Amino acid sequence: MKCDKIQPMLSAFIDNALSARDTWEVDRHLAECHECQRNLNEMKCTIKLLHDIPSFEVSADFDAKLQEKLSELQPKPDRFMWIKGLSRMFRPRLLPAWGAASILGILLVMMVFFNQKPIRTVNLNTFPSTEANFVQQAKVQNMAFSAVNPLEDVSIANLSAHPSGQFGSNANTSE
Amino acid sequence: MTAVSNADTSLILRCQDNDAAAFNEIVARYKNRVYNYICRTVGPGADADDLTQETFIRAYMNIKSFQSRATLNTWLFRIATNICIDHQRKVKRIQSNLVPLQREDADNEEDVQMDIPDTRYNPEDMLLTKELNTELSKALLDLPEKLRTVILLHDIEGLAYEEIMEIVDCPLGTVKSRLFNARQTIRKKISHYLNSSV
Ligand SMILES: [Zn+2]
Repeated sequence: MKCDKIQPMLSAFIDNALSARDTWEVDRHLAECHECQRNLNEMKCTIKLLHDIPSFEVSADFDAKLQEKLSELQPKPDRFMWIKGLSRMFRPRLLPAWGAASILGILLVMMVFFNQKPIRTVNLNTFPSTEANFVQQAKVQNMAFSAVNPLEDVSIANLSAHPSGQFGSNANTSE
Repeated sequence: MTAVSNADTSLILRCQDNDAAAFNEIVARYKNRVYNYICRTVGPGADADDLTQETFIRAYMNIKSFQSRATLNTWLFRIATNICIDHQRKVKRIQSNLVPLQREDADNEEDVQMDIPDTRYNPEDMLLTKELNTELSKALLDLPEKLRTVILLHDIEGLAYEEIMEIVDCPLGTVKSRLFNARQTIRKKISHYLNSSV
């Protein structure tokens, strides 16, 4: 293999991450190529320097600052809980149920509204309304009476006693 | 490694059971690793501080949805990586809005930002001079984001290829080639040190 094929494999070669065949190829090439040997050494040295580079450490107040932020975090979900609750109530899966419930509600309201008797604003103790009640009551009684026993109606009884009916009065006057 | 992930799993289960002490233990265990990773990604300073806090806040808020097929290690670094990417996009957008006429100065500005001395940096290391560390840090920050993430996770945080695949959501071949490109770029940038010291 040539150097330009070997060099990209040097990184994985250092990490023992090459296949057995590639490792053998790199080994064989390195044995006779000083340029690749030098690259390999420099890369190993770079990795070692990176590994040994001093680490940064958090400042002394890191924990306190974090705790403060975490405690600030606690009440936030509660503040918006009602919005979350609302949005959960109106999630798409529940929309048909909400539709059915609103139709039922509208029907219920309509039933209550149209079954209601008209509100009487007239004072029942005043004369005209007493008279109206009286007349109404009489009409109802009369209708019930005639429905139960139509032949006992006074006007019908008169008609049967005088078959000539309407002309009878005229005959009397002529006699 | 297995012992660590077992301990992590029990910590997560306790967190999911609303045990605040368990979350504090996770913070204690990972804060410096996450902070170091973020400093190496966005540079040390106030931003790195805030982003590390944000990483743990996001972890806290999402710990109930944590699934045991990931390790805590992988999960935290994935959160940190996403937070850094978001942050850098914001910074880029702000910079492109604020200084559209000063494009030539952008590089100098970046240099100034990177040369800010960091007092937490430990100069007592036997092998490295402060100058070489600064050079390495700068080289890391100069890398394209995708290469930097992989080299930081592998060569500095010591994560395995498989864990990195999960964090960056890429196949093994991509992780390997990004790692090679990153190492190669860094190697070239510090080659004058390597020639004199190796
Ligand atoms: Zn060669």
